Amino acid sequence: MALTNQKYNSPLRFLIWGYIIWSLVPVLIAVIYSFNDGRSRTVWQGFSLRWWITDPYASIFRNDETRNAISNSLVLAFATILVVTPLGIALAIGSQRIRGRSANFVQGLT
Amino acid sequence: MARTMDTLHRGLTQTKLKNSPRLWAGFAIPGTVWLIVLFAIPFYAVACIAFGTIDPIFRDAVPQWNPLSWDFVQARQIFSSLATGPLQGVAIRTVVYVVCAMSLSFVIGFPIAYFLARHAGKRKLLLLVLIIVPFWVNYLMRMLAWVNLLSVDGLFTRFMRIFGVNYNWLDGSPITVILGLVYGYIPFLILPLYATLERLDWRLVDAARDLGANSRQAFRLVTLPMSKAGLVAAGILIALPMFGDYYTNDLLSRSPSTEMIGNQIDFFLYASSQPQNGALLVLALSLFLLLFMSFYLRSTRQQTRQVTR
Repeated sequence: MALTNQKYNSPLRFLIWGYIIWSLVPVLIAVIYSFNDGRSRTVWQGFSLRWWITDPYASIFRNDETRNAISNSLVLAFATILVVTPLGIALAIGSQRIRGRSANFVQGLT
Repeated sequence: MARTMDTLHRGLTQTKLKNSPRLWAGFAIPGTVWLIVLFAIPFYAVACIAFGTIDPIFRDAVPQWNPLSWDFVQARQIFSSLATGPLQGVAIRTVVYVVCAMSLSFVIGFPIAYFLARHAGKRKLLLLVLIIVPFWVNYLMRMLAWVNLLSVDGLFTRFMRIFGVNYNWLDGSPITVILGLVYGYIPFLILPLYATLERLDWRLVDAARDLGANSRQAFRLVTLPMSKAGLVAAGILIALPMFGDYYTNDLLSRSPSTEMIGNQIDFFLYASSQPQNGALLVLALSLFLLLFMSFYLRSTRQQTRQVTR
């Protein structure tokens, strides 16, 4: 058993870390470049918070449009959570304990 | 505290509550109604538009709410166009892209899920969290991050130039679209697959090895058949959204040479004078996906039968 473990381990470990890097690095780069002191998304021009707060017109927390968008996102997300959570939990509990002919129907639906 | 919880638990499981299925059915009603209503009504509306007429001046769709006077002429035309006419190319391309993307997802995703379930050891939690992280980032955000990297002066394009690869990734390349689909949907394959593999009885594999199977035989004859239901479920879980996908294509290619069926629907609904063609394509796609769904339901039913036997 120990032997097979050893044999399988190394290439798969390589693959899984490669996958994680592949899946996360593009997003990380996008996040890093949000601190770029310039308009470029590909050339690093120094660190700044201008796109976050410093710029009085274009930074996301001071531009009216982006501020509105952020607050809309938060409101909609929380409203969705409030509606979906009770519905989903009740359906999950119900469909797990339900018996009989209606059980197949509910489980097939979900 | 522990004792009260214990009594509460016993009370909940042993009293009449457990034997009153009606109560638990009541729990399921709101969600069930919600799902039915929000599935049936939009679907009916799509059918009414698909089999309705078009305003001759404004070229808007005029839904025909009465099923008795539905008009199937346009439907016949679209279906024959999909089978043998101008839309055939798009239909074939959609299937080819999805099959390629799914195979690639399995080739990458299965070993990862397998490793997580069996050999991750003490790093398991960390690896699981890192694999779940993409769920917290919106699909469009992840695609836009790649658009940035793949643009002509993007970091990835410049990185590949070091190796002599000078490729215009965002210029209608099928490779980019397929890789984009894989990138977008593979987390939805790995996690359910991991959940299945995690619950397998690995003693059976050990038993196979003890009885003289080599590791390859044990994998082929024991591991694969045991995880078949999970593989089918995970495959269908990503196949369904892939077939209808259009924004991956929109962001990564925008070229008619890589158009999929979702792009055609988008085009007919928003940019053409025949919106009902879009609705008809939605119906055609749904019919096609219904085949997959029935396959999935049948295989899960078989699985539960095997478990309960």
